[in-house]
Amino acid sequence: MATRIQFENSSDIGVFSKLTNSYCLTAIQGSTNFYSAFESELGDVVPIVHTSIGGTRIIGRLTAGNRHGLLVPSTTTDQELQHLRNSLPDTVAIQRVEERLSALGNVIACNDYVALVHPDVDRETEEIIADVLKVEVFRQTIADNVLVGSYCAITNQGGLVHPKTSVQDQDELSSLLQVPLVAGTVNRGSDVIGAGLVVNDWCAFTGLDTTATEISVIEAAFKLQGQSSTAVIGEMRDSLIDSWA
Amino acid sequence: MARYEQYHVFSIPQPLLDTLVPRSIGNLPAAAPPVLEEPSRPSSPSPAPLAPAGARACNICLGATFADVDEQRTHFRSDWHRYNVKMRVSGGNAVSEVQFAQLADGLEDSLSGSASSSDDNDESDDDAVSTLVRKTKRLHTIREDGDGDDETSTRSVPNAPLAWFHSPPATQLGIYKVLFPSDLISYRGEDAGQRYLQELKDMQSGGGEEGRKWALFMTAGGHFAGAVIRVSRPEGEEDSGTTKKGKQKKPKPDTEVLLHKTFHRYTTRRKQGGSQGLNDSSGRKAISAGAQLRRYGEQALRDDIRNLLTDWADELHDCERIFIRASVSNRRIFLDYEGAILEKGDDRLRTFPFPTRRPTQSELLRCLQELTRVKISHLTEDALREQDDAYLASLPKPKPAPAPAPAQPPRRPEKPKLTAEEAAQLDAQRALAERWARALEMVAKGRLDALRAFLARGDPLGPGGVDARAPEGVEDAAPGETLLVYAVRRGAEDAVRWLLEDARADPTLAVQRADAPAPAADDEGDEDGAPVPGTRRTAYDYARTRGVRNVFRRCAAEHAEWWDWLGAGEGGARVPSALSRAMEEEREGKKKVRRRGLKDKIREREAAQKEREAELPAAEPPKPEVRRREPAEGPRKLGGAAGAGESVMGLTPEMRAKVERERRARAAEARMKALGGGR
Repeated sequence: MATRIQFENSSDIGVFSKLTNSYCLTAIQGSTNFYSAFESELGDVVPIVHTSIGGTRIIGRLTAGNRHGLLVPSTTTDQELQHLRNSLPDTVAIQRVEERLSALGNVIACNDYVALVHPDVDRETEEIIADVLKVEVFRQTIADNVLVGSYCAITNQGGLVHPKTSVQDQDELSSLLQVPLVAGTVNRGSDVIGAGLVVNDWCAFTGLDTTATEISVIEAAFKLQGQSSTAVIGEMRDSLIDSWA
Repeated sequence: MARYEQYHVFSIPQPLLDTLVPRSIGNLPAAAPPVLEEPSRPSSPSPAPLAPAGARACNICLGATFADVDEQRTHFRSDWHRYNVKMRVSGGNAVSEVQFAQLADGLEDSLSGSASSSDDNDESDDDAVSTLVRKTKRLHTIREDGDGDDETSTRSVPNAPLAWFHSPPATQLGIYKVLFPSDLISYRGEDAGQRYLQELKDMQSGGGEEGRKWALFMTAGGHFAGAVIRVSRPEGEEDSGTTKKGKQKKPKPDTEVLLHKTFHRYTTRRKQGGSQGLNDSSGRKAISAGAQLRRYGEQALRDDIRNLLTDWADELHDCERIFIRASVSNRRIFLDYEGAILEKGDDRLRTFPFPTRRPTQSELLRCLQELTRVKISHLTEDALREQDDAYLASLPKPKPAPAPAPAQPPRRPEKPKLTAEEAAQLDAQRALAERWARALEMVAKGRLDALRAFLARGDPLGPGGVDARAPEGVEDAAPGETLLVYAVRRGAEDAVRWLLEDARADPTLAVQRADAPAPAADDEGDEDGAPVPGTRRTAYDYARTRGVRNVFRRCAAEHAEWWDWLGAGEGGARVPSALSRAMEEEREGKKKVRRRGLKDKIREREAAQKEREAELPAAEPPKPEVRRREPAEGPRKLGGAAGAGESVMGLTPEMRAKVERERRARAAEARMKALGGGR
């Protein structure tokens, strides 16, 4: 089930939140609308944590994580780190990463088994990613973009990638990740998938601008409504993807 | 795919060698296409499907395909793939696995070298792939720059670092000149190219049983790296694939590091730059702990290096070339000390003809490669000719630049016209002007002894002795001025007196000086106003101070018979009146009387005032007056008002009343005083 929400009149909800199979992070704001939207969907299933990272609200772009762990950048304060440790389940490992590319959410795209990372990420960081998130790490690009975290969203069920990803690259990535991939957009044609969409294995949140077609592609790609991924290929591909691919 | 062609200086293939022709300085091959790029160009980057790639393929790595997912995943983690991803992101071209292996092999030495020797380096990036990418990029840029820059530098400077050879169809080889014997490098004859070629051919053989050996040393910023390297294969083993060290089975073990060593000591002044030694020698000696440490570090580095040289003395003795990279001051570490292994004038000594980076083992190896690897370009003869033409066309431009042409031409046309006589005259004029300048300076500074000595030597200022007139071109004096006039103008009384009395300068000489300021109005009053410009004026007329004028008048009184002092007409000095001693004394006396009278008057007045004060009741000191002036400053303060009343703001009512009372009392006192004063 995909829900359209907004963070303070911005549709880039992926900037202000992080959603995984075991926890959800949201940015701090005056009203609780945003938080409530998550709460109503996720209920008691996963903890939802209000936090800032390094004093900023762009937590979705600064952090990377999955069911096993959470990586936060070196700018994270000790208090924030402590707050996260207190709020998240003990099974979630939290690690601060000293990486030059500090917007971890932009340079890391991962599900619970595989992570795609920016080709210039440090060797050390790569090891930390592998250890903390318990994933296999591949240095990759998405449609020749190095910011893999910005231009794709992947779960254990499927993935949505930059609309200009070539068919060969999609095949290659999909084989690498072992999940079906679909090229698509969010927020009425935005190619910054990571900013417009947060998703885990059973629910998705998209920006308020996302069109119905985009929603149905997302639901099909991430198998959120019992649809098979062939639906995308059969029904929606003509209307959406052919103009890109 | 084209073979990665690289030639080692000491093993250029014989067929190629036979076809080589030296390129003369004027027509060098330019813009050699980077060798490295050539093989990779055909395999252009576009990830266009080379094959029906399918899912188990890598689109970046030229469509490599895999049997299963594991293989694919392994590939995606391989260095080859990571290298290709990085290269593609940075706009480079992907390489095939074989090429990558070659690249990695080529850089392996330096990679491991950098790892071993630079583990204390600040950039602790041990990622081999990123190092490789960086190195490849650098290689590209160096080659590209090198091809551009080397060419331009060879063009403008005849003294290019590279000697070029051409092999007829379209191959050019460039070899660093420093590899050749030093007498050849300094040789400037016509057949230099032929000699280089001959030497190059000779270089292919020989080198003795152990092969040629070079020593490379670098030191900078407290780092030192040195190595003794065998650069050519031992004689007799030319064709066998293995060296005497059988385990090396590589096809071309052209070079082998025999000895190497790196040191690092703390010597550089962080954030200031420069070495401690330089800083010490430039003045104040720092006494900080850091300075002590650095001084010790420099000392220790020097000792380390010298000990090393001593240890390596035997090998160094056999070396064919010794490359040293060191600053001028650091060069003394290697040469010029007691018991030095290397002599200063040793003709094996060379410097690196290209910029080098921080002295490390890997940098040494890079430099070695740079030196021993033949630069290759592939230009057809047409292209070469075109370049030569372009070069020749561009020649006239650079030429005027180095020559100081613009300064010369104006003078040159004049000079040829001058005969020897005229030239001599010009010189004489210049000398005269110089002497005048000296004399004027002496006058201005009142150095009369020097002036006396100066004037005693013949006629230094031209005919007329002390009364000579200034020539044109003297900075301070107007043309036609005498020394006396100058002294008068400067107000130098002593000089004027000396000139008039001792040197007997003529005060009656008329001087025309249109631009001279009108003489100050004479307070003696007997002169007929300001002289009309152009009328006859003498030195006296230029006097601006009474002191100078008095000098003239005194002189007139004492030596009345010398000149017609008082005459205003032709031959007169236009001094209004003489001032004899008697007159001066008289005037002095009058002044004294007047002054005494003045003093008396003042004393009287004071006495009267005292009397008056004694009569008055104890007068209030000027306190209130001072107070009263204060308010004037009031408004200048921020928020201050015209009245002093503002100062009572914020006081308690009682205090305010008290202040007010005080103020009124003071006002009353002031009034009383005013009344008393008026009485």
